[in-house]
Amino acid sequence: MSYIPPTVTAEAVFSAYNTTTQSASVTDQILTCQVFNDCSQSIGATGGVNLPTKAMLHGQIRTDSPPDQVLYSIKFDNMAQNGGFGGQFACNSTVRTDQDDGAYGIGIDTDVFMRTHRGTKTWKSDVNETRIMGFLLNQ
Amino acid sequence: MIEITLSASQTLSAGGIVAFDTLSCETTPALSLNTSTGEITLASDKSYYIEASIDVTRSSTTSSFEFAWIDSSGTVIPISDGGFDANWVFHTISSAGPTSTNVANYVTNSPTSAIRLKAITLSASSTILQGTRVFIIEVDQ
Repeated sequence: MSYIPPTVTAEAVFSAYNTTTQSASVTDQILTCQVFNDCSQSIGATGGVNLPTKAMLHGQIRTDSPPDQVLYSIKFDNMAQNGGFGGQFACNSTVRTDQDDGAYGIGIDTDVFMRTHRGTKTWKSDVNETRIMGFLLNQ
Repeated sequence: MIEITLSASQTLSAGGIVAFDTLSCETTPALSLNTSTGEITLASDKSYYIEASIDVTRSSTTSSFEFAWIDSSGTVIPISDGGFDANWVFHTISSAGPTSTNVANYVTNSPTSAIRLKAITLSASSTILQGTRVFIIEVDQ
């Protein structure tokens, strides 16, 4: 078996997270981040991450005590420009073992955020539990 | 891309360290693995995107687990430094409980000198399966 060489060329890795608890509506609620870690980039106007170059993203949320049998999914949004796309993931708190671990996406845009996409009840994302991680690729 | 794995399953309890013992990479990366302790020594002049997937058989089926990256002094790397835990909380169908993150990340442009993956919460004598693995993207700064 051969492996991809150990070093890739990228501008930086990054992560962002929330510092305030957020209660969200069932659908179409933007999940906001307040802190951009360890990178010269910034949080966008609506709480997403500003991506000056192409980037690969991994987004996660943990909900605090969701109602029983809640079903929801999240997706990256605002990535349609410049050929970007955003994945989504679904979580069913009743059938807990078949959930994915987050949404993945790749793109280049300002203010790329996650949004609730599908749900049966409202839920809450606690402090530090809305997370976006990734790396900026060289052009 | 670097992959770090276990050559065999490992019995572990809360407070224990996952003793990764195998590093796979086409060429020699800047980081290194202590194959006795599972400690990963990082290069100060690299950026890192590190992700650990957790595969565990809990000794108690009603227990929870949490894994997080710690630094060389044993301190959990905080989220403000790019440390993100894997946190799975047991609850029944009829009770509410938080949803989970299933991977533990360390994402940084200013790496600490060395990291280990610690079981913060884990029922005693659980089994860490070989499906537990780490992939690392090492980035030139």
